[in-house]
Amino acid sequence: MDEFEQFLKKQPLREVPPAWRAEILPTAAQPKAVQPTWWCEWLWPSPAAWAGLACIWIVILVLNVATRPLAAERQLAERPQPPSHDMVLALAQQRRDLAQLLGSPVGSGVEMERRHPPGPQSESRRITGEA
Amino acid sequence: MAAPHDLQPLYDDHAQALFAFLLNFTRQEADARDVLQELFLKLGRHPHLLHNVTEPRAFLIRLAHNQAIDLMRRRATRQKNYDQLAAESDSVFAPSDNPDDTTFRLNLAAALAELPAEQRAVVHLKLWEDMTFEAIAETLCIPPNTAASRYRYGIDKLRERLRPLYDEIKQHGRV
Repeated sequence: MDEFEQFLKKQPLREVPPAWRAEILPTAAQPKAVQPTWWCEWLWPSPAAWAGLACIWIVILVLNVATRPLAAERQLAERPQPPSHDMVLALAQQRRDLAQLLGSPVGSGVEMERRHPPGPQSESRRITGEA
Repeated sequence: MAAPHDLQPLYDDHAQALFAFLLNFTRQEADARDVLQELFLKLGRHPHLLHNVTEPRAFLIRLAHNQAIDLMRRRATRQKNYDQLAAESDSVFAPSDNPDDTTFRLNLAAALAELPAEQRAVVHLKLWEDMTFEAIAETLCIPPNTAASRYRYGIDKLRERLRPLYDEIKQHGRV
């Protein structure tokens, strides 16, 4: 270092303002404020309302699960039902009545049943229509 | 979390040097304060940063330098006329009752303000922290040759700018 540099080096620097110590150190020693998560901030405006809404949804979910039909009940509901015997007899009776009105001979209900075994309702309707 | 009693000796030992470095680097007392505050806040929240640190002064100056650069970058994006603001800078030198000393220090502060910040940082660490170029290089994360050349350029500019005043002081035998 030459003379000029030595001269610069001797220039006294300003002191750190004493008041800063009392301001900086307590702040630095303070515990870090817990940063709220995004969902906390989102819920924050009305936490009671959100909690109530959540309870309602939970009740709906529980009821939905509790009232769900059992597997056996579902199978029963999905199985196609054959037309009942009473319905077949009623149809045969109707057919007989129609034949009598029209004056054409018609077999007994049992014969009809034998010729046309009970099928789906649409089939029964077709037979009835033809008759 | 560092206890206050951990930070107190650190502050007492290094705040003066950090303040002078930051004031010289940022040229604004308010910025120096902000960075110093931020630095101690960081140390308070992350005390592990100081583990295994053998040269606390150099380490703290490095942290301060990095934070000051961040601050200046943030400011540069916000206000274009930062250079103009920096021209109206706060002096890093102590006031004096002697008018000649006051004049020289004012001129020295103005000459320092004209240096690029990175040259100013090297000049400050070399002259007022008495650091070697190797230590400066490590602190500022630059090669030692770069530190040496920045110092040389900086000193040459100061010498050129302050020569008349310095020669006058020398003639009066005050050097």
